[in-house]
Amino acid sequence: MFLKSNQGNNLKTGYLYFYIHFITEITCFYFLSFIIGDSFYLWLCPLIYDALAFVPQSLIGYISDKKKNINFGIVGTFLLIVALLLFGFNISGKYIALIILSLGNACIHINGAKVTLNCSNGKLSHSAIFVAGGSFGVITGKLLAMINMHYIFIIFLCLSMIPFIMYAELLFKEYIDNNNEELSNYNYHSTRINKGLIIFLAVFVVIVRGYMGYGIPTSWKKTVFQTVLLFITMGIGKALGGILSDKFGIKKIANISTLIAIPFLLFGDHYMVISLIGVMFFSMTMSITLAVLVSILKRNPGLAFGLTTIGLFLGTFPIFIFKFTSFLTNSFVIVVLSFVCFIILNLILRGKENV
Amino acid sequence: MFKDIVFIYNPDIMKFYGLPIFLLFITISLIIVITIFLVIKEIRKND
Repeated sequence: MFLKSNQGNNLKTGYLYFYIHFITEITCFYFLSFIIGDSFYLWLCPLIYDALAFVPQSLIGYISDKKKNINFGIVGTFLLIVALLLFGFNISGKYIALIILSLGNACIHINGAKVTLNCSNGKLSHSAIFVAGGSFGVITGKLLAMINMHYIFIIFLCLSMIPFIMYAELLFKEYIDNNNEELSNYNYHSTRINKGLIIFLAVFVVIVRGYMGYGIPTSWKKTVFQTVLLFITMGIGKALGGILSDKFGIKKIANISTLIAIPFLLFGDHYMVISLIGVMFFSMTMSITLAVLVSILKRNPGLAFGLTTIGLFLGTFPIFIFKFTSFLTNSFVIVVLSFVCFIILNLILRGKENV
Repeated sequence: MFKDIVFIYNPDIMKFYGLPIFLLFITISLIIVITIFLVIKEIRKND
């Protein structure tokens, strides 16, 4: 299941971009961990990062869809290295290095989406494995910053991505030469509902997932080890969502992941293991919503991927503004949002009746 | 339910960082609007 693919060598693209995404997030969260300033500035910087790393992916993705020869992976790697050098030599203004870093991240994400989605032959595993790498990278970056790893080491890590990016690009070009440019094997959306409405509803599920991942309180999230476990669990959930959907069916996994997550998220406030299981299940919806969007925007997988990242930004944005403090209110929010997502996914996913 | 909301956002931030916040939101809003237009255009093209 993890090593073989019916698509021959194409699953390699998922693993290549797992590593690339891993290093990208190491770089970004290493950088973010060193930002210092007053409390307002420390509130503003993560917001700038989230906004500029997530939101522009739709436009970068659209350009990537139209100009497939542009290797945004290399562009993004270059931007990350520039940001690190500005950081290392302390020559940037307050925002310049951060903006360059964010855009570098966005470019690499889009190239990962382009390569993994195009080489997947309609399967979800490739992109799911690619996306999962990020969660591991986030926590590793924070840990490397904690131990004061020198930024030169991080630059070398960035450079190590280049052979992976080039090899993935080779596989992508080889696949595109032999296959239709449209992702015709992505057919996960319901044919009974307006496509625009499906897109809106799918993005809504992504928004909820973004909020659930970071906004649901977990009073146990205190030690470094527990934070590491949280991010690893999110990564595993994202990968499993794609792998299990390919194996058992997308609608089945969508139903299971949204419903089963509810009790674990509800009662996980004080119990780490319970909360982690809930986070893992809910993270599985990532690849499902991406598959639905790509099904509608077959010629524009980059744009489709960018819609999910806009959803993620909108989902995490409330966390910058407010939080709920009582168990009852949070429980209400979890249950209502989870049920709404369950209903939406059943509506927008193709069932046997409209295959 | 509304008594349980704790606001993290401090409006005083606008005194010190008003311009970057304003520029950020204009940028995000513009990108989202353009994205919506692109999505509508691509759906119509593919139909």
